Amino acid sequence: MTQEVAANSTLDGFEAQRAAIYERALRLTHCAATAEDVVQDTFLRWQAQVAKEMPAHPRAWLLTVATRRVFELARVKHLPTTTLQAEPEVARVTEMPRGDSVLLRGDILRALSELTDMQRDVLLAKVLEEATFREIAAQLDIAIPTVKTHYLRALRHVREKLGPRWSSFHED
Amino acid sequence: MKINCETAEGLIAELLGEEIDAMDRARLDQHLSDCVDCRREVASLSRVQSTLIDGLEPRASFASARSSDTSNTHRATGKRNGMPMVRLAAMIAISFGLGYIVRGMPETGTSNDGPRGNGPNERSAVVRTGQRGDGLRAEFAARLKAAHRLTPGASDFSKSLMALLGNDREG
Repeated sequence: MTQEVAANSTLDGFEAQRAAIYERALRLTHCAATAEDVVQDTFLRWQAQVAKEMPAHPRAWLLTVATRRVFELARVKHLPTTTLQAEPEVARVTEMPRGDSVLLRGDILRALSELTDMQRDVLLAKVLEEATFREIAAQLDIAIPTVKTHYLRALRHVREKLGPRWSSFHED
Repeated sequence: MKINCETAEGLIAELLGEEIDAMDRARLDQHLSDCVDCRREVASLSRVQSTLIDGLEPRASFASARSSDTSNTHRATGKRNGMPMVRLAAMIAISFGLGYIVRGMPETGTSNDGPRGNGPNERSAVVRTGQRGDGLRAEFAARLKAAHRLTPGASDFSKSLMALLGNDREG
């Protein structure tokens, strides 16, 4: 009986964040099938984690694990250049011409994949989740000034990688 | 109190993250007015941030919502201050294009009614073209006025356009 309650609690905790996990994976991969894989993998890791200890910030923990899984898959499956074109329904509705949006997304993913885990977690929490520096600091258990430093470093790294192809980031 | 570039770094992060308070904003603004390097850095990183947001958006509706959310940053860096003018220009272009299509289509057909060259048909065609031009101009001015009402910030631009069209005293 106790085991059943614990299992339900584990499942409920995950289900509450399932949509957010899927959205995060979809935004990064633009591929529904890959996003679903990421959700499944994240659930398995969630189960294992909860069996040991419930994370202090379940949502942040799940999104971090999902994001890292996306980049693990990207390294293994060359995600940016292969699966990005597999979801035309999503890609078609971006603002810029589809080819450019796919290219940009691929370049962004490559740039993000070269960040440290901490820089990437901070950057995505800020840009995609609109979390405050204080919230991010609490979730990642680091100081607020450190979060700001990671954020600026991450932005500068992305600028360095995207600048040559995408924009005059260095101009006034 | 003046701040140096090192101190400004943390405030730049807060500015980009839209978490800066009024006092820090004033200090940072003062620093930015003196330091061209930091000013460029803010503008540059703001563009990177916008590119990331746009590039990772799954839907257009998300993108437009985001761009309004981040308007403070753009306002802070002065990058999208020209948007009302762009919107007005787009409205004018659309109005003019629609007017031309709606009014121009039947007239296009009449150009083949008679032979080209000297003769009564050419004269009537010139008259018709002139009438069409006046009509278009009046319609354009009316739409411009409507656009002007919708976009008050562009008043000087629209007034000068109406003056050019000779309709500035209407309405």
